[in-house]
Amino acid sequence: MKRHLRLSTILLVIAVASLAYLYLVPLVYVLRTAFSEPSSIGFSDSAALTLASFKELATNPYYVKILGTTLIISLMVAVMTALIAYPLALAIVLFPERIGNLLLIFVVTPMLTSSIARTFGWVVILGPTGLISSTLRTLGVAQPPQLMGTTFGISLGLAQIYIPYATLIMSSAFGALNQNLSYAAQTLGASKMMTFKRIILPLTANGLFSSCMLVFVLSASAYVTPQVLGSGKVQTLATEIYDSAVVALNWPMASALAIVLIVLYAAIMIIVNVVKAHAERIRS
Amino acid sequence: MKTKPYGRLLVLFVVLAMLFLWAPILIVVIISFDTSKFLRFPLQGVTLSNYVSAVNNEDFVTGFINSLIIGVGTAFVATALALIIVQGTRKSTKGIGALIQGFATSPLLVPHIVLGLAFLMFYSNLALSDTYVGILIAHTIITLPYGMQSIGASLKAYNENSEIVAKTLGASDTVIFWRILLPQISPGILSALILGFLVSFDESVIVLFLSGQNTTTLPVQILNYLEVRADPVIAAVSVLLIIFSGLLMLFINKVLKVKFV
Repeated sequence: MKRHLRLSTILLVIAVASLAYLYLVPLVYVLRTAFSEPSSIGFSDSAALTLASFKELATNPYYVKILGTTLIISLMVAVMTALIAYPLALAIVLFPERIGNLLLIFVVTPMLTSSIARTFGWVVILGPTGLISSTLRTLGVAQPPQLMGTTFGISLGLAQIYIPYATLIMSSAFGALNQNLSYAAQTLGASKMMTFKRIILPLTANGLFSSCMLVFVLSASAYVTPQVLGSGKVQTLATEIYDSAVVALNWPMASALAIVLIVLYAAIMIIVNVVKAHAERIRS
Repeated sequence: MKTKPYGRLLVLFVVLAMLFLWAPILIVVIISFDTSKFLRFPLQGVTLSNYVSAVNNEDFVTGFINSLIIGVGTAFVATALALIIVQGTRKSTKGIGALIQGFATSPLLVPHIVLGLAFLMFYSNLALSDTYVGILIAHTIITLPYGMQSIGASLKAYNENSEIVAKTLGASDTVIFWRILLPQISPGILSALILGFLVSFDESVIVLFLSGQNTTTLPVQILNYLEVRADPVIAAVSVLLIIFSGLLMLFINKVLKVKFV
């Protein structure tokens, strides 16, 4: 009896130790490398600690622009999510249950398909010989606007990937939304707009806000979609991390960029939690 | 008279949203049957030859096999690890147990681009770059949270009384583990295996950092191909991928009746 208990404990210790070595130590490496002398051969030779990479990040317009582009893309995706996922989630909760469930299935299924396949779908739609360009050309537009290689095109691709997640999170967070409340309001003479503004929006604002923030951070760290839909013209934090690490072999710079990304992540998570706590305090 | 709590505007929004979510998938399916040699609208004709070229393309086949090897390996290692952690911590849900569980699920919170960089730098020291083992370790780490969730969920439904009865009747802990615990949580284990496979199979960022000539997986092959050209063949590959993971998902949902969303 004792022996088995010990065996499972021994296994647990081994599992946690290997996880610490193979997962935690590499992350600590990133932190350490971010403060090394910039390099072009991977690691730095010198063991000295320096802020050189961060100084470069803050002063070189190239990097400042990348940070700006990343934030713009994330913001656009968050706005698109609010515009598309929010009505969807409301519909799932407010529609008759059978239709709502069917809707949920149609929202979730795209999530199960490979994200590379879906990104390629956007290449077909947005590309230079793609659906939109060809259609516009047939309609007589000689030089249709190019959407591939723009922040807007990338945002479309990312929004399509993250909207199902956001819709799922919102629709489960909107459980507090009781249909009868809307009925009651309307019976008492409230217009639909009024019902929305005074009943539905206040009850769902928190879920809306936290899902948009989640989508914001996910977009900021996405790699494949910006890489494929940016077609080499748009650099984001993630694509720059990859290029610095693999092409330029400047690991300290790649690490510094990674730290920036993680700080952005943490900051937004903290904001979400503070807002959530604040909202709960108001309610009680 | 009952007024509906939603208006026509919402219905219109829903239709547009569905169009947005499904357009890229439908267009890939449609274009995969096109006879043209490159992307072009309107479509030229209907053919299955893109599928023939897709399954005859050596890069895609090797990529697929590599993805299979790494995916299956990851599924087993991650599920075993998840079982060890869940089983080892289930009696101490507070304190150290909760700490370990939090630590093991934390990879969910780290962006893959950061993990990829971390593994690239660290594994180059251990001579693990461009090896199956290196990718397998990385994929195990990102898969572990999903495995723990699946196993943990079926453990919640686990009837501890049968364990107490068995103990009273003199069963050893080993017997209890194999004959009582394991059979009862087997749906969770099976879904952890399949989910683990799928996460590894679909993962494309970390693997870009770690794979080389010997270990190129299918997502990496697709991305490499896309850099050079976008044509109906890649659409056919995408459709095959969608069908493949779709079938696995359907299997989890229908046969195992496990819901994870």
